Order: sequence, then C-alpha cells, then structure tokens
Amino acid sequence: MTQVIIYNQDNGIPAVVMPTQEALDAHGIMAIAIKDVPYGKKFKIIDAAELPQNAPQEAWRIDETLLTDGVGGVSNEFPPQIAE
Amino acid sequence: MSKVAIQGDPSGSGTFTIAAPNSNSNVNINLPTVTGGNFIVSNASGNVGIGTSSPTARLDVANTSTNTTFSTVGNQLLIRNAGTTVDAYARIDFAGGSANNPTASIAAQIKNYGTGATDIVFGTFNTGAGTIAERARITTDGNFQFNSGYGSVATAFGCRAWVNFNGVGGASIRASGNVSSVARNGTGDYTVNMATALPDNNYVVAGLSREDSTGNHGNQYVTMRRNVMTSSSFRLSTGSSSAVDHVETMVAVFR
Repeated sequence: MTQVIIYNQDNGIPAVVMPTQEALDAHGIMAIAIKDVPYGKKFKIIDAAELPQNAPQEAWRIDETLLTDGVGGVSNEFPPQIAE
Repeated sequence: MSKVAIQGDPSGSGTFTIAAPNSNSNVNINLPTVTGGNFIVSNASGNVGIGTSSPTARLDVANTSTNTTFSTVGNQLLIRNAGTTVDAYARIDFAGGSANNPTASIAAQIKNYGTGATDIVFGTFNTGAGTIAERARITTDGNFQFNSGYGSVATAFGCRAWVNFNGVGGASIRASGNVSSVARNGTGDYTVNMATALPDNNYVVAGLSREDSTGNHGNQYVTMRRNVMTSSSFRLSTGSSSAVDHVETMVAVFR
C-alpha cells in the first residue's frame, strides 16, 4: 500500500504529494505532510489506489470537509530529531 | 605524606637511569594526581598508555568523555604548533616500512592566529615528485576542496538534492537524495520538496526527462518556474508542445 497526501491548490485542483522512501524512513508521512503541504492547506492521507484513474487530475475535485488529517505547517523544514 | 619508591630487581643486572639534561633548564615528569589517572610505560608490550593502565597500541590515549557537542573543546589529544607563523602546520605524518620520510599527512594549517582561522589539509605521496603533495583541504569556513584531475585544489560544489521519478499515473519515485516528496500539481506539473532547505533560492537545477519507453523523445523539455522557487522547493514542468507526464524525470540541485 502506497500512501500519498492530497490537498486542494488555490486553483481548486487537488495536488498529490508523493513522499520519498528516505523521508518516510526518517520522519513518517505525517511529518512530511505538515512540512510539504502549503501553510494553512488542509490535507488528507490516502492510499494511492484511491486516486481517480479515469479522469485527468485537472478534472478532480475534493470536498474540503474530507481533508481532515491535518493542516500544512508554517515551517518548510522537519523539526529537529530528539534523541530517545 | 606521599611516598616515592624506586626499587631494583635483585635478580637482574640492568641499570635504570634517569639523567638530568646537560643544561640549566629543568625536565619534569608529572604523573596524574587525579584518582584513577594513569601514565603507563609497559615493559611487556612496549606500549605507552595515558589514561589507561593497559595500552593496546604504541600510544594509547584514553578518556571517558561523554561530550557530544563538537564545538566543545575536547580533552583527549592536542597537536599544537606553538609558533605564530601564518600558514605553518600542526601536523601528523604517516609512513610505511623503514622509510625515513612520511608518505601521507594530515595537518592543520593556521591561517590567522588572532581569529583562530585554520584549514585542515590532507596529503598523500606524489611518487613522481618523491614528496608529499596536498590533495584535499577543508577550509576554515567549511569549503571542501580537492584535486581530482582539476589540476589544482579547488572547491567542490556538491549536489544538494536529486530525485528520479515517474510522472505518469499519479507519479512514483524511484530514488532520491535529500528530497522529502514530489507533488504532482497537474499534468506534467510537479513540485520537488527538499528534506533540508538550502540557504536561499539561488541554486541551480539540472534536469532531463524521457516521455515514454517507446523512444518518443523529440522536442521534450524540463522547465523551471523561477517565480515559485523557494529555499526548500522548486516547481518544474515536463512536456513537448504542452505539459505532458514523462515516465522518467531526473533532476539534481547544485549550489
């Protein structure tokens, strides 16, 4: 199962954020979403298989109320790693 | 009162000598005064230990530091050039076999005694010249310089991030370095997010792409959207006459 992050761009077209394996291993998908989704944009983490297959991305629309997993953060950097 | 003991071995005939220098200056051997301190010259192994009673090398300098902050001054081994000549070295040499001359060196070159500016220099033996030659240098301001066919030691500007991804079908990432994600904004329209940001957005991006596996590669492009470049992300488009998803897009960031 490959997970991706979706959010609505300013033009109304959903963007699909694909995490790299290196970032997943180091930080996890939630931290990636908070860092890479633009500030203030609501996002949802879904299985890539749920993405529409029969329509171009420009035709997709996502109800904002379904984007419930978080909001893009202020910083564009990962928080410092804390040693356990 | 502390005691001093010098004891001879009754079964031996060798002489242990402590000789004063032929001068008016003093010579001191100061043994550690702290509990648990060691200064050992091992007759059995020929090893010298400082901070250990069982040295495992010709010179074994041991401590039990728990310091994990690099900027904190260490206390294990200090190689000092006590002079004040600018560009002079504090140096460790290496040699093999019975050669009298070293065949490799690591040295600190003092650039400014007032500010403490210091380069680290790495050298190996130049067999043609018969001497050690400087091969690489880390300057006091953190630039890494080396001579690997350039003809001189010059700063190497590194690739700060790279990614190889397939933009077709929602896109998938094959491999990456210092990239946290690739966002597909639309057909042939992507944002590459770097894991660790650069100091500004004045970096260089180099890219290539391939439209499909059938050899369709005419009039294709990878273009940048300069107005939305940030220190941690950049946006690119792939296509031919219009934006098109490509099966293979490879980009690298240099600064």
